[in-house]
Amino acid sequence: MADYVSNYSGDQIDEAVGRALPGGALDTSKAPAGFGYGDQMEYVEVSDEAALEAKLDEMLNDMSVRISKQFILVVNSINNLNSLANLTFTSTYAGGYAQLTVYTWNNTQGEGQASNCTFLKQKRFGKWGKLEYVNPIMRLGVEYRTTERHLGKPVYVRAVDCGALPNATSKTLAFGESGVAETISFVGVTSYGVVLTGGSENEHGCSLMVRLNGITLKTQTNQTGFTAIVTVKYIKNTD
Amino acid sequence: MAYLLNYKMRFERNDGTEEEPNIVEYFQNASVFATNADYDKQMDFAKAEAYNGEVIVEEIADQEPEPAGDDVWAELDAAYQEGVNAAYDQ
Repeated sequence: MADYVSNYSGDQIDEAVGRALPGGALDTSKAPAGFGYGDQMEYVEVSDEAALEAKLDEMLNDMSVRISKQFILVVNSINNLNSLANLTFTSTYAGGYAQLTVYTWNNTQGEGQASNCTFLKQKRFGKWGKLEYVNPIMRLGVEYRTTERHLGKPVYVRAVDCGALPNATSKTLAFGESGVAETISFVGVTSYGVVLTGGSENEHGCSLMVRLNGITLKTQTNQTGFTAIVTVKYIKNTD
Repeated sequence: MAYLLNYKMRFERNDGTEEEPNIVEYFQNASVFATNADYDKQMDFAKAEAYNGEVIVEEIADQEPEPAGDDVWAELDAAYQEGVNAAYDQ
């Protein structure tokens, strides 16, 4: 029989045994210390996504595989709000796998724009992937990568303020960066509450087309008294 | 002659909360199609929307083609050909 070499300290083994033995001599009522369960959670504040990745790697270095850690997270560049974060070290395979799940809340009174938002981040093959939103905040003009997939690719969503509808002509808005491979859905809503879905059979006589990274609105009459916001979902050829 | 009137729109949004506002400005490129017949009207519109009233006029060779019957997509395709690229070239 091969020798077994444990990677755990004596205290860790004692604690694990104690929790496994009902009524054992060791403390059986506590969750593992240091991982945010049963203890005061660590407070982590980072400036941006790159700093977040560095901090997560630092945490993973102190964690064993298949261990989860819960902590309070603030990422200044994302929403600057307190969030409940869970980091799970899922596998050591091929450089390491990990999963970060973040639930944001708002400490201030009233409904903040960025509260109740959930986003994820995965480490695969030792490399952190981009942050993905379960429910994007949908601030105007901001591109959000989502957990949604289309043809296996990540779906991005953006709400574009198109300003005023045109006066008997066409108006084109450029949205997003290059690399938009395919628009998979779009919808517009005007300040008059009219939904634009493509054709011009609506109260504004306004047609809407979205191709690659351009939005085109066209009217046959003067509709400049109304504005529109168009929400677009798309995939990229860079993914 | 036909024209594309290219400009940037300036918007503001609150990236903070109602209690702790964080007002951020951002810009959106836009492009309006004009012909000789409606140039002044479209220019007035573009200047009114443009940040600091700055509009860059681009002459384009062909006029916007007439819609083929009631095929709105053919009509929009033609507008797209000129508009998207022009908006991006700003």
